[in-house]
Amino acid sequence: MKSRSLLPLLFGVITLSSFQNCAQNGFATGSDEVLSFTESSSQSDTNHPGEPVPKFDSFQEPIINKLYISEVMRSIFKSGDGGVEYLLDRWVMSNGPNFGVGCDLYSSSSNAYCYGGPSNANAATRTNATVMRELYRLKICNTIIGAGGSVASAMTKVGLTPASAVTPENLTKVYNLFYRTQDPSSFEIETFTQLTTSLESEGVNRTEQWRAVLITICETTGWQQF
Amino acid sequence: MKRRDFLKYGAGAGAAMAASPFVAHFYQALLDGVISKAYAVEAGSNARRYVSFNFIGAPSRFTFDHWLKTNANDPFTYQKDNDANRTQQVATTLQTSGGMTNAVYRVEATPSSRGVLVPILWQNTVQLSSRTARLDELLPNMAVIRGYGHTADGHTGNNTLQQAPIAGKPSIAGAVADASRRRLEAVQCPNASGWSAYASDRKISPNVLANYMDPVSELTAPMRPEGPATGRHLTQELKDNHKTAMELARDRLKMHINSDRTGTEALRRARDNAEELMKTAGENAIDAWNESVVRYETIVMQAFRDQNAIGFTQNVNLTVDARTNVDDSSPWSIQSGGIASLQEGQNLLQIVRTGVPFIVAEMFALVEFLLLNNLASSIEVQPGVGTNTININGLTMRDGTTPTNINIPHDMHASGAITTALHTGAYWRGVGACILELRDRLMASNDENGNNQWENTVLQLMSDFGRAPRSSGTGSDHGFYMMATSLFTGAFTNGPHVMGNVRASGKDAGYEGTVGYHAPVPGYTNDPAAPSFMGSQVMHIVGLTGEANPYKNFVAAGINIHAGVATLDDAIKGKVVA
Repeated sequence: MKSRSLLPLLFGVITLSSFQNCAQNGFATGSDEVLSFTESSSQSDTNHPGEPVPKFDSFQEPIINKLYISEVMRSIFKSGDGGVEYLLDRWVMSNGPNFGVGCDLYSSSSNAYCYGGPSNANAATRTNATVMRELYRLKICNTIIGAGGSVASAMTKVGLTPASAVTPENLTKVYNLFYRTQDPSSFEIETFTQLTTSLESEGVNRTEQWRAVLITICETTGWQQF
Repeated sequence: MKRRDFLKYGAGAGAAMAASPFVAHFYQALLDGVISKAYAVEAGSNARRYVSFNFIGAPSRFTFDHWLKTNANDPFTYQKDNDANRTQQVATTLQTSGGMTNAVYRVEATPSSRGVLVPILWQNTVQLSSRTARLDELLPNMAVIRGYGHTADGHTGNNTLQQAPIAGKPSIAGAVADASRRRLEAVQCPNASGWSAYASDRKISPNVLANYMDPVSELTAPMRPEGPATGRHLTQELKDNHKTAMELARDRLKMHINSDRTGTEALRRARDNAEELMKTAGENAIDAWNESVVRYETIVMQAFRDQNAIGFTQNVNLTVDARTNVDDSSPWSIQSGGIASLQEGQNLLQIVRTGVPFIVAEMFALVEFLLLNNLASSIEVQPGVGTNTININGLTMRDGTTPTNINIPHDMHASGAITTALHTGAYWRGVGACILELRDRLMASNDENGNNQWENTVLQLMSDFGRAPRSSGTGSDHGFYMMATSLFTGAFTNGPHVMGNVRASGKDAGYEGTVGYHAPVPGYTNDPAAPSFMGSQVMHIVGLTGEANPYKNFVAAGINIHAGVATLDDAIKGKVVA
């Protein structure tokens, strides 16, 4: 590619990145735009001199708890074997304090999650986003979808097979496995199409292309938001 | 143009050429650059790292950091007529007198205390991993805040006030988390659930490590990749073999999905941090954890079980006195659920010989792990789970049995003066030794900003309230009107500092003498000085001053730190008032 033809594309990338980083996009440990937002909101209140204006530079909205997450994963990937339940127990159900909903002291199956004491029985039914929660959520996505039969299980749920073509219609069906009340935007369809096209060109078969789509959707944060 | 529209159309150009490895990598480099920049900016926060050791249940601390007489001229009234032969529940040492073992209040300055009188415990020598050390090495880095309190009883309510002195404002740990830019921001271990008063302005939630026996495994387990042997490795294989395509799709969606919803930023920040941690794969974490737990266990046990500790066991006859009815509350009684009925004639050194401080080593090992790896800025740990403090084996009961695993709870109502001085002396020796070990480790390391880790860390030892010692020496009750806390930090080296006033007289009948009852602080309108008095001072020690101190409009801070020297306003310097 000649450098002359690359320039407009380069401009697009830089502009895109710049625009994105002026919005409420947190990177890593908080974000520089959060800092600037905080600074600009620190104005004095003449009625209460010295008292800083409350800083709502981030806001937590309701996100689903461990029961909801487990049910979503179970409904998509459980196909008769016990692997999914084991993984859900290991990575989600045992982590009530970070996902929400405590252990059940009266259940023999969940007693192990109480770590020998009753404190986890008292976990809130709903929690906010934490790194621990996301660590465990990414893990459950990767372990369940990383298993051989997971693609077939998911595709069957929406009347498709691992060999089904990657079309906007099929992508929407798969997307709706996680986003039950929200269709993908054209940008998202475009992203998935581009992903599978790239994988196709690298010799990846159709099943693994769908696996790539599934893990990419599962790892997004949005399906946890009510 | 709305941001979402821009993403939709503007991204088209970038997306169209994303198949080019060069451009994709360039795009990734841009993202990485922004991440690095954000991290560098935010790592510049002035706040020190904050660790609260919350001893839920309120153990007696008179042998350690609930100081009642710190100046030679301070008036001090012994319970019950200054009778040296009586037991005193505020005892800082044990003495033999006329064949009867008594607990007495005795304080002494040490070479490191800069003239401040401190309990005799601080003269003890403990064995650390690399050296022996005297506990009073910690005193130059120590501050005690006392003489504040509340007017209503209750464990959880008062513990809440210690953590979050002003309702509607961030808790102390939450305020530090608000200033944090580290991966985990805030950590809590174990799950504090109903005991947690954590609150953050930025709505940062604490990462809960519920498995108090092995929290580092709990943290790092999801970081370890799935190998082929698990049969669940296929997503990892895709990511490894097709990195460019997979990461590009991930990053595009990360920017886009629900990007105009208000709650997305916090979720995305958590995910980004999780992904960064995933990259480390928790390397060497388990080995480091195993080593440090064993190290702290060795240290705390040696200090706890010291048979020759100064002030507590030397030349003291600790045989349960036959003249005491040990079935009832007495100076010899010991709390274990109810009152353990000890057998006459047995030697109470059994407590020290077989006692095991519960979940102390694990909490210090976790704190060391989080701090040395720069993972968190705000850490809340609870040594002892629930209200348990010490497990003992082999105490002989009145009926001749020797049950295993007697638990002495932090809420030690029925532990009499003699047993309290003995087992709290052992317990706090162990805790103090762990603080020294942690200090050694932090002093040998710098954080990501090049600051010495010890200078950049504040440890706070807190509990629900102080204990109200009964004049009879038969135990103690809830001292919600006589709270105390201590802080340890390398931020200053001219300690120990004492803040807050106490009365020489007690509260009322049954709690007589100098017991730590609150007294007014000049210039502060609250009487008692409220927990916000404590909170505001802690904020300044942590380094959150000015607008960053959430309590400043309620109680001004009287301590300031500059160049390693803490300066106290005269008003808050601790005094005993008649």
